[in-house]
Amino acid sequence: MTGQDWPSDRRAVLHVDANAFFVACHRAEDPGLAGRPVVVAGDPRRRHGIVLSPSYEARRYGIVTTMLLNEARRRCPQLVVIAPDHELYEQYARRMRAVLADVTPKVEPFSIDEAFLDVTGSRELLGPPEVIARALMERLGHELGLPVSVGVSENKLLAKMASDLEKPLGLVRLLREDVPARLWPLPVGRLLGVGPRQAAGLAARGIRTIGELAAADPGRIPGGERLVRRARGEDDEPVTVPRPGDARRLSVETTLASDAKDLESAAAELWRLAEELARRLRAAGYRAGGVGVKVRYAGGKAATRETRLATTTVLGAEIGRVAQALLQSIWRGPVRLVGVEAYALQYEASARAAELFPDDASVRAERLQRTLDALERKYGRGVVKSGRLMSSGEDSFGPRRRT
Amino acid sequence: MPHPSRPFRAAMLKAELSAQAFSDALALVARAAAPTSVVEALTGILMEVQDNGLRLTATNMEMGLEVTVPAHAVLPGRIVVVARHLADFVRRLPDVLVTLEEVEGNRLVLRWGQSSYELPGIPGDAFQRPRFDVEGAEWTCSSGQLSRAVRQVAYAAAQKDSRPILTGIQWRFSGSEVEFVATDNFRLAWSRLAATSAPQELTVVVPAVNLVECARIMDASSAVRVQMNDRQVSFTGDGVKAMSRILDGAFPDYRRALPQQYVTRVTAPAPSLLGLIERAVVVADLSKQPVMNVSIAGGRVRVTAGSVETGRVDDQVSDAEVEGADLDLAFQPRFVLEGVRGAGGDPVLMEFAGSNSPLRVRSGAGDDAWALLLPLRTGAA
Repeated sequence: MTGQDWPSDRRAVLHVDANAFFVACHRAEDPGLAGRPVVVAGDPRRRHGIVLSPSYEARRYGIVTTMLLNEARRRCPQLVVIAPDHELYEQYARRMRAVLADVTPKVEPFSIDEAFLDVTGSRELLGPPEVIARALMERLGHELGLPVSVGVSENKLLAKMASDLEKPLGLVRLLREDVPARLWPLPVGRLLGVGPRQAAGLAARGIRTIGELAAADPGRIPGGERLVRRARGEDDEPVTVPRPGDARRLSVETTLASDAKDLESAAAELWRLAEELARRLRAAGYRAGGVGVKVRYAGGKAATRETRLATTTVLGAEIGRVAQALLQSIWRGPVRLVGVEAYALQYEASARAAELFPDDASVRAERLQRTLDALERKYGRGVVKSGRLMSSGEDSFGPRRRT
Repeated sequence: MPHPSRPFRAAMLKAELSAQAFSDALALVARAAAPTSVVEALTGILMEVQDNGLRLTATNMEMGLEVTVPAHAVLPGRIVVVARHLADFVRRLPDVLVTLEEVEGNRLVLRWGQSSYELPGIPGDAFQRPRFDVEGAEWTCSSGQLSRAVRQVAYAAAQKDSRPILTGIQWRFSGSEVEFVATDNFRLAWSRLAATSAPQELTVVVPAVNLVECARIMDASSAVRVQMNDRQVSFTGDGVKAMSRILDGAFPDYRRALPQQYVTRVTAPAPSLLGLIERAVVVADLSKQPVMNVSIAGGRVRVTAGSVETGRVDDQVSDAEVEGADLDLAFQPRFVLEGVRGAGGDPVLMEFAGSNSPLRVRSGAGDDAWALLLPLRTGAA
């Protein structure tokens, strides 16, 4: 693999993904756990005993994420069960990023246990991308005790798809020319960015594999052009390095199918957007230092209002609460568009150490949220929803597995 | 004495005093007057001529300040005038003898030499004299001690009142000493003073802006008597009185924020360290998000700030003694400056607990003040 040349016109992007990260952190602290079936199990909704992260040994017994602990114990009586320790995970995530930063300054954390690296400029000094990837795997393994999979490619999309192909401890090179052979046979739901609902919608149009999507007429599918390009392995999004006090803003907005006439229905939409915005913030590793809302009235005039938060947040509920108050203050209804924006973004590796005296209730809410995020990463969106969002018109909820 | 039912026959105040003394007293008291208020009386200063001189009082209901200046009292009386105008005017007078006199129609006339200034009073009935004397716990300290302890922590109190309790300074009395703590949740300042006759177990939280003013007005006194109950704290000095309401709520326990252990210690002479930090502030402040990077490696402390666009400074802490692990951190530059100044002392001792843990700054010479500063997050740390 390392013998192959790297095309000179391509970037070199790595996606580093820690395998069974939560378990790996506990193992790094307690070598006695090595080789044994271990699960991290916690309490997503104050009901004890849901498996959050099974070790690969535990997976051999058929234990999967979200399985009830009783069931897991029945399958594997010698199972070792550990309570989640998010501070520990954050500590290891930071150490992992410090190792990654030795290879290139261009590191973009993607979640607590994953990051993209642009090593285009590091090749001169450190060698071909696969060599750099191999060196990282070894260092993370030896120094931190973290097993990782690395995808090696020319863009973030393919790098991430590549690291997913072989776990644990995979090192997969995936360039555009490899896409037809390696990705096109896979179900369309495996394409990064295609959720279960979208996959179902595509299936209804006869598109079941990534290859069928790549061959589809962009004009005839929702989300068209971009989706088809991704199915062909094209993605030119740069690896972006977050900085402290990043001045960037992140926003989501939606034009309503019909104008929202009253404050309540506009606020309901705003809450949905706030959850979505919060999800994106967390995925990008940011915290919001300010929240803004935007509306466009039925008459066509737009209004915006924003406010700084006392402390940064990544929680949909906190963003929603502030956004609703802002909406109230500019409400002259009816509106045809609503949007929520996060600004004064701060990049943060770990939960709350940026405050000396964090508010305990919101620390707990944030821990819960990060646990839910871990579930969503395994099971796709919509596996758990807040009570507020379940009220109207959700066709189904409950575990939905990637097919 | 004035009588409400016969205002036109009431005595009209008259007094003589030095313009300088008058101006000094006005400057001290005027800070308590509200700049604007629906209650017009709260924008005013109450002037009362009594046997022992001229008493000036101002309050915005949050705090009250009062100064008595020696004056030759000709006729006793009281009048309320808008604080800011009067203070601004008197400050610009030469140091001469000024005569104050109330004239018909609730007006005040200042005369000096052949000149005069006549200004309208404001209806004084709504002016509520704050209560300065309260029953409760008592403590006596020197004004120097008080203002030093306040100065060492006040900068760290929160400006915005999103968590109102954090706009305050907490005092904790424990018999032989008093602790002062302020925090805006991102940094924390602590100071302590030895106390005789302090209450045994008592905690009060006083709004920082009020406490700064109260301590300032006490500055010229030798001893300050402090009285506290569950609603207010009062100060009495030589011819001056001050009071502030106290804040309700639980102040966070600073011991929770103190690192368990430190991994790196840096000791540096204060003058050169402060110079370096001030230079970094000048450069960093040009950018929207000021950051000061501190890198400790191989026994050297390197400080960088700024950006390619706004200019960069790359500086070394001279004569620094470094013990412990290498570290890279980033700080809000102004916080570092205020922390080092607040903790005071020479040399300055900086104790680092890691890249994401608070830095403790204190004097290498004493143990009566320190500051905690949270580093900024920099991602790959």
